[in-house]
Amino acid sequence: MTILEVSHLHIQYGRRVIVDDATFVVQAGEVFGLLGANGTGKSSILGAIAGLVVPTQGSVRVAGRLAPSVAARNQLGVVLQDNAFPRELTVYEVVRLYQGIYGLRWPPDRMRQYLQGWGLFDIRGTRSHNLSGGQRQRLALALAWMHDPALIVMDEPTTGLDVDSRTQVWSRIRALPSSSRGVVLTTHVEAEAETLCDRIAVIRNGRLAALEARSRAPLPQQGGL
Amino acid sequence: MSNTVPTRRPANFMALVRAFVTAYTRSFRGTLFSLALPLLIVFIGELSAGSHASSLNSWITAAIALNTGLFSQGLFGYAVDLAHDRDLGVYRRLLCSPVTSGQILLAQLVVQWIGIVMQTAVVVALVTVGYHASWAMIHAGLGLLVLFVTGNVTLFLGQWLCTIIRSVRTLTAVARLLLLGLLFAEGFFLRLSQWPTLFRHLADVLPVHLSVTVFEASIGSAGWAASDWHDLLGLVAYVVVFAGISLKFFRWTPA
Repeated sequence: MTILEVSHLHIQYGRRVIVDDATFVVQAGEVFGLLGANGTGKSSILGAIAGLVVPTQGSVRVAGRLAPSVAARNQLGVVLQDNAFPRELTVYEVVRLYQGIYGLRWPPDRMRQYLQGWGLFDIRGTRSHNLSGGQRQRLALALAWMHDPALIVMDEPTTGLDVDSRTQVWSRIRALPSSSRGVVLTTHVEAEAETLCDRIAVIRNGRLAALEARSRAPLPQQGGL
Repeated sequence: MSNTVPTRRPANFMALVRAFVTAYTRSFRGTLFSLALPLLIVFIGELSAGSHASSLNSWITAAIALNTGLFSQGLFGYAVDLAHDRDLGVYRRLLCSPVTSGQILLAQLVVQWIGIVMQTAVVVALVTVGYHASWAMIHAGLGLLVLFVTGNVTLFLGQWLCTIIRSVRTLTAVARLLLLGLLFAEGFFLRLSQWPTLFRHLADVLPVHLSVTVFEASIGSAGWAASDWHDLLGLVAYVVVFAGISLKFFRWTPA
């Protein structure tokens, strides 16, 4: 089942071409990686998928819905590079906010279970601006997953994390795909792409330079949470 | 960990309002400019009036307090918080979910209006209960109309500033300067009659001067005159201009 369809995507700011004729599809159960150096256009492709960037040409369809639209965004879970949440809200309140946005009503037990599952229960009263990088990333993943989206997109999900937090996030990402869900992530670290992705698109100067399928490398040993 | 497929509904506007209200009540700037500053002005006004205190003086002090509170809230409580959250990427993350920028704006305005109503209620309660000001001289309908128009001037002034200035630091500095200028124009530091003619004419068309004039007129000391309608229309024009520019050019994502 096709979850994401990017067709002849072209993004241009003024005369500067950021993404040039990018075409690829992502199937359910797949982790698809966009690998490239900084400034090659990975985040712009992700922005177009997330509905933050309007393509100059071409189209993006998420689970059959044309982006950027509310219907497409309803099918998306998003983890941005700089995950920002309202500063004055606690972890619990941020989760409640996004629950409300997605129209979810969970009983307290379900909420507790969800927060525990993401390692957020003990920090549920912590204001979002006091979270560490790893805690912030876990919260971002929890928000991206809560409404059971068809596609989860992640922009450099482990940038700035220490080794333990990175390994922890990697194991979470490996568990994300399902028979009805796909994952797209960007990274500039080849090892990360090899560990997480089933297929990798190498981006150079805004173009898809190569598209290759790989078998995932094993996860490194985790030093503990 | 398993996650069952939830029932999907349209984006819930109330969830945004609830979250923004929580953030607003915990924001130091929000509390300071919507409650503490107007109350301080009322206290100082009543203290300085001393034995000359009267209902009229109390209401004029309340009008100045509300006016100053509204402009401070619009410039700092709203504009700076909005710019700060935009700079952090709070709105960009929200826009990846099924909410629209219109819903975010409306939710923000609703929350600011809750703050304005609270501010008004507290100031009015203080002058009526604390300082025994009589309701007899108040045109309540006109007062509410003035409050509604002035509130929107201050909020869209803040929104306009965020539209034309992307940097939080620059915005904060400009907001401070503007507030100082507005306080001058309100006659806080020097009576307007003591100003050079050119500055006086300039101050006459500034929103803060227009609003304080119509606030005082709604109290009824000299009655509501035709010129007060002109001043009120002037304020409405400010709302239209600030709102028009903001709605067309405001960006919710960081620079």
